[in-house]
Amino acid sequence: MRSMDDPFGARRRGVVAVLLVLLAGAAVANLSVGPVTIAPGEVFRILARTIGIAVGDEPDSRARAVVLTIRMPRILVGVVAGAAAGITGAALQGLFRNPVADPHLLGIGPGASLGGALGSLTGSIQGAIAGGAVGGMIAALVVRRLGASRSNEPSRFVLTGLALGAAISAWVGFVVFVADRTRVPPIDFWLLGNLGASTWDTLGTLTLTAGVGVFALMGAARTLDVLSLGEADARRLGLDVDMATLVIMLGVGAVIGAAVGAVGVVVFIGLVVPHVVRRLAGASHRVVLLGSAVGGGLMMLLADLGARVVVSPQEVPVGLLTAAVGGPFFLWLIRKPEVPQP
Amino acid sequence: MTFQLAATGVSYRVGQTQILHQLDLDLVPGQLVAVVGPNGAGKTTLLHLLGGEMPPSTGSVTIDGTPIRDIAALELARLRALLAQDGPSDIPFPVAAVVSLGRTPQRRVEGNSASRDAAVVADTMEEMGISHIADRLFATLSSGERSLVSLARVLAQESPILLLDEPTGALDVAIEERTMDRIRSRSKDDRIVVSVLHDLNVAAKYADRSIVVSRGEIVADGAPADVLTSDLLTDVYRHPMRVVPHPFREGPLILVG
Repeated sequence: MRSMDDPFGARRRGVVAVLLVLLAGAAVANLSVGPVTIAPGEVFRILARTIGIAVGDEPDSRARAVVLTIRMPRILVGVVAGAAAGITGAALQGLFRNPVADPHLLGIGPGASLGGALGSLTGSIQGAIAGGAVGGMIAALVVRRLGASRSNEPSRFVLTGLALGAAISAWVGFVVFVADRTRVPPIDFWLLGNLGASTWDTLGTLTLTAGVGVFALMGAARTLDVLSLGEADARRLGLDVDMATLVIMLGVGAVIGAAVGAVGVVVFIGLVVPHVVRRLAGASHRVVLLGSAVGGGLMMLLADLGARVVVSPQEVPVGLLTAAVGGPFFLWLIRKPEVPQP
Repeated sequence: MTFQLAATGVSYRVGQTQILHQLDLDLVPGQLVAVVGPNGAGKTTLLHLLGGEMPPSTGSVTIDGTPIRDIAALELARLRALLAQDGPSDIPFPVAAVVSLGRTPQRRVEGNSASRDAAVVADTMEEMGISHIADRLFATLSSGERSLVSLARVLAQESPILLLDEPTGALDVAIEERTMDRIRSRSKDDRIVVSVLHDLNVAAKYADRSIVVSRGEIVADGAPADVLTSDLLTDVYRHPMRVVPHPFREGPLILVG
């Protein structure tokens, strides 16, 4: 019987492997599609040569530059930012036992936007990302203090977050309109996200900053499993629920905050992806957190691909694409409970 | 190892409402102790105070002389398990996973291992008769099945003190009998077992000691045959009751008039 040696069904890590393969496929598609189309074969040759394997003909040097200096950092930043959204959505849904928890809907994203906008006054991407992480952590603490954890009723939970988010977004607007436009990205970046400005510098700072928080969240997987029993029984099993909540909220704030500082707010990834992963792989948080990170990266890449081709050669903000998919999903989610009630 | 769970001068008040009033209680291993009484008498509050869920308004609860509030959460989880009635019904895990979460406080105990955890989980599910639903999702179970799974989770904690709030409330007669039998055998296993029970005849049959709680006070405490009397029950429940010798086994039979 499967249940004895693997009660959570954690063997369904195969789902994560499949998502990784899809992610790799999406990455190749994103590398090849754009104002200049580069055939997948040539993309492979360029990548192979970069790691020292000379296969086929010498690739075109212009194509090489497009792939390695423009598209590659953009894709990797997109993967990390999407992973940040996916893993934080999964962590919040587990922490609050609430299917509609999402960092942006709860107002943590807008808090990160404000921090990121203020941080970008320094004129550096490092400042924007650090500011986003700090803003995200502060907003996460505010959400925790507002007693979101006490209210398991989905609608109230989201209304609180929407009010908080709207209020903070107004301040983001003030900062953007008052500040030097050459330093602070425009308001649509903060509200809808954009991967267009990503560089290798963005990738390094984002990965370092978000990495610490991701580590904390992955370490909390077992704690989140225990919290699935409800706060009261988790306490009875010896869990320090307040400390666990604090660590997870700070981790969520740092991870999504760094992502917002790098690419702005890209909505709905954190809401949609964990549900799909749970449906495919079960609810064990080790798999859900990891799968939501990979799935989040995948959804971001697909959305960015759409954002670049839908009105090519122009680009639309990537958040328009995720919202177009995520909005209807959200409506479906709040109509229908995830698990049928007896 | 003999140890003791004691309440001394324990009262509990919420605002102006006195829920429990000056209770003294001494509990030792080896007995199944039933707490009975009408709705709102304070049975669940008493059980939760004994489990250290909240501090009493006055008095203290001690385990082997140590005030329960001085015991760290994880240590307390190794000492006592509490089956409450407030758990969620939509836990998204299979039954075996829910039961295995009961092992959480044992995970870093010396001598424990993943294989021992798995063995305890398997044995406990077998004991509770739920092995056949091990792979079903908890959220899809009936309320009776859920209560068996929650009880199995609490038993898998392997704590020397077991506090159970109506463990058989949603069970049919046959399963209730079997479950009470298992709970009783736990008490013979050198554990302190206290259970709030709704059915007086179940208490009369299985308990070694019955504590009758009424309006926040302990009004009777002793062997069921001695304390569950017609006069006392009629008075406490404000409903005519009669206690007669059971026609085909030892012990009292409580008849509701």
